[in-house]
Amino acid sequence: MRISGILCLMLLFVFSIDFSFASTASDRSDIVVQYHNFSWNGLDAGWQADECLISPTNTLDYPLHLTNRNGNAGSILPVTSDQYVVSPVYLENWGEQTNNEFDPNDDVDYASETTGSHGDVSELWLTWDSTWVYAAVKAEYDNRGSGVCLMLMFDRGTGTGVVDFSGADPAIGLDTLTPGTFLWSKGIYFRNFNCDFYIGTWYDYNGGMLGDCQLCAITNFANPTFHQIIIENETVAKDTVSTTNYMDRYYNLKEEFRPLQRVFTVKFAISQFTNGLSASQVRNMKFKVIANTVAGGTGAGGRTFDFCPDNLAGMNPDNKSVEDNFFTVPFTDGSGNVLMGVRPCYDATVQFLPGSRRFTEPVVDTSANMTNLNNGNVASRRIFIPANGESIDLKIAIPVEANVLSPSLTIYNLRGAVVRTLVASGGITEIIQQTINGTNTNILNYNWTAGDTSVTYHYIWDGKTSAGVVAPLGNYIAVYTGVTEDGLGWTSKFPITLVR
Amino acid sequence: MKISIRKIGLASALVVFASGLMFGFDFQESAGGIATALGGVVLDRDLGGLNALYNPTLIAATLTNALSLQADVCGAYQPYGVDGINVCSAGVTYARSLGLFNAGAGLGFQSELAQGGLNTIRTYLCLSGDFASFSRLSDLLGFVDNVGASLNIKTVTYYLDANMTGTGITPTLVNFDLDADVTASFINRMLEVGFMGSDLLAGEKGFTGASLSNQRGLILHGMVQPIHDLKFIAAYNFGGSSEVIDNDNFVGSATAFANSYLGMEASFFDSIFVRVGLNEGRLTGGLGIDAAGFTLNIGVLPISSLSLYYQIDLNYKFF
Repeated sequence: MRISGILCLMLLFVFSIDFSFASTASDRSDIVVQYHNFSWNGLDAGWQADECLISPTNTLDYPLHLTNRNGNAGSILPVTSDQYVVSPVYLENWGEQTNNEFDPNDDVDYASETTGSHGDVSELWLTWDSTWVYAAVKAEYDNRGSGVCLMLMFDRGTGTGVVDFSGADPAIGLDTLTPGTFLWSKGIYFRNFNCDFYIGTWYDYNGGMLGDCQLCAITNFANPTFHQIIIENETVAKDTVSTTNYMDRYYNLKEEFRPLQRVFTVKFAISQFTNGLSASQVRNMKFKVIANTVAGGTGAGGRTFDFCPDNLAGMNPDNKSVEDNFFTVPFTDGSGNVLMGVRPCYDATVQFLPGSRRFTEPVVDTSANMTNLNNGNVASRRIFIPANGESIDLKIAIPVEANVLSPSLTIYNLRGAVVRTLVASGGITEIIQQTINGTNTNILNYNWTAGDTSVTYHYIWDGKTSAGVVAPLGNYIAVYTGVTEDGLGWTSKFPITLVR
Repeated sequence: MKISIRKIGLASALVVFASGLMFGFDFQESAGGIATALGGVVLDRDLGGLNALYNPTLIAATLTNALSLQADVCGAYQPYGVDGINVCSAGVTYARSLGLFNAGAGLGFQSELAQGGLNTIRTYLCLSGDFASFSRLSDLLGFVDNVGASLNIKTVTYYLDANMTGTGITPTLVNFDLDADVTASFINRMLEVGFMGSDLLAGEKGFTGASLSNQRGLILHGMVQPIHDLKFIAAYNFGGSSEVIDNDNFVGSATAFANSYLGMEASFFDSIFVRVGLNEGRLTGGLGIDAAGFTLNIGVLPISSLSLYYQIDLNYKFF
């Protein structure tokens, strides 16, 4: 009896949980989002003081005890923005890499504190203000040939860019340092990621080549006006290199044990994201970012060792398909303000620290009008009488920046049973129009422009159930559901009444 | 031992029977925390004052003292999290023993309030009778403990809370209907079986003159209590609408579970109750606490796309 009671309690507990929040499976690709005005102490997350690139005082510093190549010590990347996308709480085994590129399942390197590892990328930090984007990557190199490199790759979500870095791709550009070869051909294939531009840095472990950096735009991107990188007030032209700013640093006092670990920090103009895009595109941008380590210098060939966020599926050295490595960052809140939020890809998990605000709940405006299909009369009420030829026009206005994908509407009765489902997609007769800025528009073929504010979906319910008969007299619940580009769903409920 | 085996066997049989059929009740009628937790099986014994709404037979059939007076209020504020809709119920029952015969009566009230929509007020007047010592009438029926019957007279009033000018309808509508039930208990009330007809007239008319019939319920219900602290109850509505709840079902497709309801209640020290149920295949659950004459019950039905349906009721037994 007691066991029965305990089981009942367990069942009750399980089913009392609001399971509208989908759970995900990864245990290694957590991304923590930290927000302004939240009192955060990096030490609470398991970091040591000299490991915090973004310090507890919200200043992005060079690691302590170190100087840059030019002998300049201290902070060079002050951060004044409100947002931080920070790397996971786990120091170990996050950007995990096989220690044997011929055995993608052998990924024990990072389990050892003393192993000089092979290109693991363990952390990727990203933040920005109104002028600059700051990135820091903690990686681990070894002597797999000269010119071990780090690449930061960005997809602005515009549908342009390239998905193939696998070979001598002219779209990427000629290697001016090695005539006849192409830059950054590192055997990478992307999935759901179209690289628009990337930053490459490299470091020579023997000190013979002190390291440089450059930014390259994908040349087939429309209006490629951002072929420069600005680092520490120095403008570096596309396909040239900076010999005065290289970006690797020892990152903490552990260098005697892990001498090849590096932190790369880079600052570049935020206009790299916005150049060539419309205001609407900028406002709705969800850019994606990947960090990866490669070997073989800036030229063609070489190996790709690791990605960050981690490649959960392991790497296939013969076909380095990047399937679950990027994460997505909303760029603005739709009003020009930098937005907070992050969406990892596939199995990864987002952890929101207390006090954070989720970018998953678009503020929607729902309303209903009775529409008499016989005479075209419209009344602003949510009661309709099918016997009198009336249907009900259920409307939902969704902010453009919410980027709701495939919204649908389901009619429930008060028993919680589904009466009818109306889907907002092509060919559904219930959808009579989509209104953008007050103008009836076919949203499927709409070319977004600056000034777009919201999309209104109309669902016309004739009062019939999915079986084709008029539903009983009563109150009903219209439930709008959708998924934002953040990958998380939202719902909005609205009561209506059918009269017979 | 023989009795125990028989009890367990009967319980198992009924559970299997109920699982294979499944049926339920309409949650839009505020039914209280017990019924919600038990998957909508409102034909359980001892619903307190809410017996006036759902099974008046039990008013007299469950009389254990010379007199009984119970009151119950229940409701839910914005069930499913929908702004503007609230439901509530209240009931009071009175019963007394007349020797071999128990008599009872009850009054019930139920409302569904939808701002700007359809408001529904239901009233219940019920009469209940029970042969408490039926077995004395005949040795041949010695295994029968008691047989009870009830009649429930209901009014349903609809109000349209909106400007309906131009629609040609009157914003108020009144309907009448009847429920009747016969229930028998066996083997020291370890087993209970009954048959209920709800909305027998099925003559409700809509605002536009449309018939709202096809709502008649013909419900077979049963309860097995193999041990004091454990109940299994079930019901099947032969006259139900067979509405298939195609989402949010624990079992996936609900076709086999349409109009079927199953519940289980475990009690601890006769004061704490843990309940689970299946409402047309959807899992329900809840808790009850009995103290100082008051019983507080909470029942929930989680629906992922609608969030939580819940009911809270408070019962007081005067004597």
